[in-house]
Amino acid sequence: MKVKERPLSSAAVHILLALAESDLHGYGIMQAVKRQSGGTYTLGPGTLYANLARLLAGGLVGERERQLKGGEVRREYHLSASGEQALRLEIRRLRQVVAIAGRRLGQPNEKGA
Amino acid sequence: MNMRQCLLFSYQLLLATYPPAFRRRFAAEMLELASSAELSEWPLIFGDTGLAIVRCWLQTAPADAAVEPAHGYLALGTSALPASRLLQGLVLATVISLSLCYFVSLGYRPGTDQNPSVCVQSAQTAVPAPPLR
Repeated sequence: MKVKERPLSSAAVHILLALAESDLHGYGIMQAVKRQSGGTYTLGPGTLYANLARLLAGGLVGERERQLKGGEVRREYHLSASGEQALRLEIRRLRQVVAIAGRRLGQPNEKGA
Repeated sequence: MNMRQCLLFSYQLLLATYPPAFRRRFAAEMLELASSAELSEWPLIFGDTGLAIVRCWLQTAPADAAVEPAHGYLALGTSALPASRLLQGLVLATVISLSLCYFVSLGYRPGTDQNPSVCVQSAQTAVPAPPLR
């Protein structure tokens, strides 16, 4: 399966990273993104579900329904194999960007950046 | 009706403006998510959802693809342009072209000197700039 050809949006990266830890429902993804970014990045529901729709359509994220104790059904999202591959590619790309930035701007703590 | 119920009702109305396929698929989840939000988070929820709705209407293909069965695979980085979108574009382009033609025919007469353009008038009455020292 061809994974992707262009960089993922930062929201998509955060969502995939959250799902790399565990399967989550929508609210869980929002909380996980907030936690993993140290509170600096907050996903709104519009951005979250627009990105989830794209990721589902691209096969990077899968979904399944889980029955709760009270008989309630909750939809959970999980990272697919191609999603993991796409995330690894994106992280590699970001590392390259950081490496170039490091060469051109110096290390972040050298100039107080 | 208290404040929270009022906000939820307004949000439900906002969700109704999503494209139908997206609404059927995600609106219930979005409403559930919003119902567990704090009052301080509501400005973000409304603002973010409002922008997302506009974006969703502008690019409905991926959102629609999300509700298609598994064989409706759409890879990221590819663009699916269905015939309906082409038709919408054609209609929009025609309307814009006709509107432009109409306004041009009303206000612009090429080859007539009765109404010289504003640029010519301002050039004739322009005060010369003082010489540089």
